[in-house]
Amino acid sequence: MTDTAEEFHAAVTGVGLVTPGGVGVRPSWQAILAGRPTASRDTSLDGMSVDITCRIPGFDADALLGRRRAWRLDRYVHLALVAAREALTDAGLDPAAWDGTRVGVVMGNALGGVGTFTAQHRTMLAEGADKVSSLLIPMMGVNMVAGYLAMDCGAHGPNLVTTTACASATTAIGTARDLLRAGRCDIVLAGGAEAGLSRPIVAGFTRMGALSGRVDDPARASRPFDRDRDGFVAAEGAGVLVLERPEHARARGARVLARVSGYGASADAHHATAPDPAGTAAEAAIRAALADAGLSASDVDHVNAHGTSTAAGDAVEARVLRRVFPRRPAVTSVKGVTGHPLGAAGAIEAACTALSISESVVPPTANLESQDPELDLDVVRGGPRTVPVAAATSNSFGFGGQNAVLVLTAN
Amino acid sequence: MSPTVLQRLSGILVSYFGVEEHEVTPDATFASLDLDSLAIVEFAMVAEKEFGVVLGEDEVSPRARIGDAVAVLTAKGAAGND
Repeated sequence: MTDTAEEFHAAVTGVGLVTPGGVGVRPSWQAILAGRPTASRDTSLDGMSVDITCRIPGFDADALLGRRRAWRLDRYVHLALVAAREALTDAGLDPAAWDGTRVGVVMGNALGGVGTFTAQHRTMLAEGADKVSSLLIPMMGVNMVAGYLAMDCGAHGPNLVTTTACASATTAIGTARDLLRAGRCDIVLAGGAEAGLSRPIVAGFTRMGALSGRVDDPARASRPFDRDRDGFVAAEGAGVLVLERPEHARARGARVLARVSGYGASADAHHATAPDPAGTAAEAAIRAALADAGLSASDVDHVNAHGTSTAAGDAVEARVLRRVFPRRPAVTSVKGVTGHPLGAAGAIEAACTALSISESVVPPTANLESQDPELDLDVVRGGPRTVPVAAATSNSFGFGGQNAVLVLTAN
Repeated sequence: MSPTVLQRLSGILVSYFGVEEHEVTPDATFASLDLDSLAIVEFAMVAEKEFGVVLGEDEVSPRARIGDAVAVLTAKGAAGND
């Protein structure tokens, strides 16, 4: 156990989601609980060898944000704004009434406004450099999502974007928790957003061999922990959690879904994209998060895994989980449903973990038809499992060997 | 009857910049329609395509009124029945 004086359990008082399952927490969570895969043919990728993605259905930025607002923002910021507004409403917070100097924003993002960049690059080649938009830079900046969220709600506290590839949003939530614990903020909007499904990006992932080649059967392509997994399906999305200092949440009588009680981070220092097969640093991140929360591995009854559906990644994660957790927690990967939304993944999954805690249900891993016999885990399959969840981890392991793990606990 | 310069300019502001048509009056400033210094550069580029007229940085700004822009466009030969 750590010194209890060091323990700090940030309250999760609101969540907002925009995922391939739908716009909003309820449609997203329903799709995830139903284990309904969202991958499908993507006509914007016509002619490419991998032309399947997980896109958000029916997301109309002009309708949701107003065209006056939307035209000057990249899609990744659109997604973040919609998720953040939902999270604030869910938390019962009124930005008009708060002390904005005590409100921070920490968002994760990997690719910035690549859709805007590629479109403007085409314009430059076709029409000349003087036809490039004056909005290009503020639209594509990786940092801009946190800036625009602050403008939208009047958050004048610390404002930053964390970028650790597929772990970006988990790093963001951990960093937000640290800001709260240090007393620098009373409230932090924390999460991640990604909208990187442009042709060069998908082509790049394809050339790396990271993506599933199951293009003739997209619904079954993302299959974490399955024997026949062959890569991830690229996705887009956003998730935002409202985190508060416990006394701040208590003072205003806020409903608390769960608590972010621990955070651990580490680096493989091994390879650009391949995980260290020994999983030493990934294990260290999990153990650090547990120690930070003042918990032992046997306290954990659920793991929301990174589980991207790659051969190597799932195998290393499974071995690490087997080593760390003696009590065989209920493991799931929501990426069978959502695909892999890169820098948004950790936020969507932390939100799901908070919902698993508050609703005592763990969603199934979609497409888990025949579990890889090498992966000795209790993976939830077939349907949601009703089980009390007192403590859970949400794992993220990014390219570059960047590992981030959160521990969430019941209120 | 072909549209006036004001009507064509209004069309740009509505379709590209999400402004409500009723807001586009000769006395409204670009700033009041949420066109800041960045958006003005974009507006000048769209207007050049629409009217075939180059607007200089000193000729249109967030503080300028819509009526001023119509006058400049008209003086530079933008077509319309004003």
